[in-house]
Amino acid sequence: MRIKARRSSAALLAAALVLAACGNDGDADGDGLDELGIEEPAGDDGDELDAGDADLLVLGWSASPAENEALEEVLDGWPGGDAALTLSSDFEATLRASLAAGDPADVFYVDSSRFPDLVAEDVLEPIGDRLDDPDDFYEPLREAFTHEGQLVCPPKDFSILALQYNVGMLEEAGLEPPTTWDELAETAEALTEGDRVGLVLGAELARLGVFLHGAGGSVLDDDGSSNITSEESLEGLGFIQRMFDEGWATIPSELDAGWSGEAFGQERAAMTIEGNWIIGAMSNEFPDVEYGAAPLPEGPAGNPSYVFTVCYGVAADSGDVDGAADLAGYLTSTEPLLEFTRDFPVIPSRESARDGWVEANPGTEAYLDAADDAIGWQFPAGFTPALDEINSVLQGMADGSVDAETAAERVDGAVTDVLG
Amino acid sequence: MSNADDQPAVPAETGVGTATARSGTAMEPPTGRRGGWRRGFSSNERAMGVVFVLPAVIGILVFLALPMAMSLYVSFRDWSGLRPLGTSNFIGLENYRELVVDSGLIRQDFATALRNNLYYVLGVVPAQTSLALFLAVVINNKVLKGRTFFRATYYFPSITSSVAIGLVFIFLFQSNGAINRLFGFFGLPDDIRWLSDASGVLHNLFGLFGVDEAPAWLAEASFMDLSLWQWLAGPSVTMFGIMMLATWTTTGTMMLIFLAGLQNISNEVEEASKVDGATNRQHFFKITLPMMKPTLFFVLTIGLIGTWQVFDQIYVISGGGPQKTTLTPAFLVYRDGFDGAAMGRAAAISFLLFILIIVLTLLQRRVLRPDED
Repeated sequence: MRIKARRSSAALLAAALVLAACGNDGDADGDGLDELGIEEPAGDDGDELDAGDADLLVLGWSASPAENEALEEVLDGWPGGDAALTLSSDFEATLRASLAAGDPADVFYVDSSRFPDLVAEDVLEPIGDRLDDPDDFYEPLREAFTHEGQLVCPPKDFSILALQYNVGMLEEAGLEPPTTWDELAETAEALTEGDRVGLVLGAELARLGVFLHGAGGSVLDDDGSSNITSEESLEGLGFIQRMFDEGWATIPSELDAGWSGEAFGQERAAMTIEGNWIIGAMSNEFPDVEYGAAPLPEGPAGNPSYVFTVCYGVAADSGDVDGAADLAGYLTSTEPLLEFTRDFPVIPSRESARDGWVEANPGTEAYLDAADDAIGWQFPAGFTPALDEINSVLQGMADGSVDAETAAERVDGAVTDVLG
Repeated sequence: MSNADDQPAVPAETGVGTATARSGTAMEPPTGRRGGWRRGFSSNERAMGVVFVLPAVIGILVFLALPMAMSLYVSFRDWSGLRPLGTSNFIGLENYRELVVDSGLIRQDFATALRNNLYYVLGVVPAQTSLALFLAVVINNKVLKGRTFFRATYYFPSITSSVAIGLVFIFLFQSNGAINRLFGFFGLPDDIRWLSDASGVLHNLFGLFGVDEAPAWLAEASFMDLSLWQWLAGPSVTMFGIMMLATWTTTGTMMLIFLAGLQNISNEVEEASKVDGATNRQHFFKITLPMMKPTLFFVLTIGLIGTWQVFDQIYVISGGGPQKTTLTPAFLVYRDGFDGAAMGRAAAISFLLFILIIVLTLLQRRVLRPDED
């Protein structure tokens, strides 16, 4: 009964949001000058942020109906009390409005890329020392949510980049999935033909950055200062430039696709580098395309991947920090994690859940194998403008209008400007 | 609450109509009489008047004045938007300084956004105004059959969600999409990369005349961290596509306003000009256009304000890319405030935009002052 009521109210909320989005022509959430001043989605959500009869409120975003149902079920199994769930289609605005009002949800999703901003503002209550067996979390995930040596919030799941290849196209050309950069270049060259391109890559750091790390470079060094002009970083940028300049790699919009997975699914590209979210997209939209996932090809310094992870943050302003910490701990224990990730392809954050998950999702070893030495997708607080500039520079490289040297210079300038 | 109480309010209300209505009817009571009405209010009537306008006034205060005052306040603070406002610090004009004075990425982004939006305004406002006026004149022609049909058709884009239109345009603008095929059919280039071409339209034009590289004096001189050559880039091909979309969607609304204006031109004037032997051309330039001046001013003003706030189409179609060529101040506000955690700076941008719009509107008012009556 309760679940039903909750679901219908979620449906009502979704409907209200859709109406608001359609009706409000000037839906400029951010300008604060919205002349209409009504039907702000954030306002609607603000009213929804109410645990009702439940002890605690969990706020997350809605990835898929399957995920929502799984999470509802897992929450119902919490022995510590009664927890209500709000899944917002406009999560970021909902969360911020509630944080700014000083009355946030007790437990909410925290993306690894948002973590530094939140932690810099002391929004999160560190609960690392209350968790069972925290060392069981994959190390890169723990690192992503560690602040001043302390694990702040328990990671719930992650997605990670790997190389996807079209089985038919590789077989036809008599090729194996590439394992090194040289092979990647050769394979991409061999498979680029007519309208088809060998490799489709999103022109953004969240994809192309793996080539920096593969060469031993990075945007920032361990101290957080610019490292993009180092020899290793330049080598990585050089490889990116070569792939685009030769025409062996291209960006999705050149193939009339919204993202790489779409171009790959439409068989306009033979290979791509995407995360395990592509599994769901492929089986829903392109069930007939036979493809495989392989580890990222090795560069001169290995093949570290990017890992994108989310934790359950406990609000420092929560009225019941102990209860919230207990709930976050429960949600990230092995059994609930497995149950929660059963039907859709995000990977549970604990190594002890690994075997159970691989069993349920065969053919995903390439993703899991990359987890141990992956790099968390994360930058210091206030990095957004610099990241925007980096992506802009990478778009220029894909376009052929910016070379590796210029790219490094511009990124270096941007990083120095933002981080001082 | 007798009817007599309300009666004086009704004519007073009509007196405050829009510019269009005023120009058309132009039958305001002499000021002397209006003053007489005011004196005639009993204190009871005055109280009732206050009660009647109160809901609207409260609405404006709560939903307009208060948020504006609030964002002005926020723009002087280092608020991240992640904690209650009280926890942030007052930092004076620091946010504004970063945007306008201090050399660096923040100012460069702001300058880029201003440049992009400036070209957007320079393209969209004249295009939508002239197209709307043309359509209105055509539709206003009493000989035309099916006027209602055309009126509804042209207005249709304006009542459709801009997000939905944006998504449809993504399909139209694909490299093998409808637009390129149409271009191909007419023998125009059919391989335009509408959604990923960051090259400036003006730069491309200069290229036709052999100017591919920036002349040294343009490359070296810079204003707000953008070289003059970059300022002169013009809208990128992608921005140009978005400008076409915006023109298409807003023309209908503008057309309707023009239509209302045209219908206010009295038949006597039109007939008089015909009797005097004016050609169609003379009729348009000597009669229609001058009589439409107040409407034109109104359309240009709302066009100017609307185009400086462009956000939805950018958000849906390009997200500021490729290479920041569709970044606009309103999108920058979103990026810094909601994507990043610099709500203070976002508020400062929105205020600079506000000031810019006010100044430009006043300037425009100066140039195109509607006739005072």
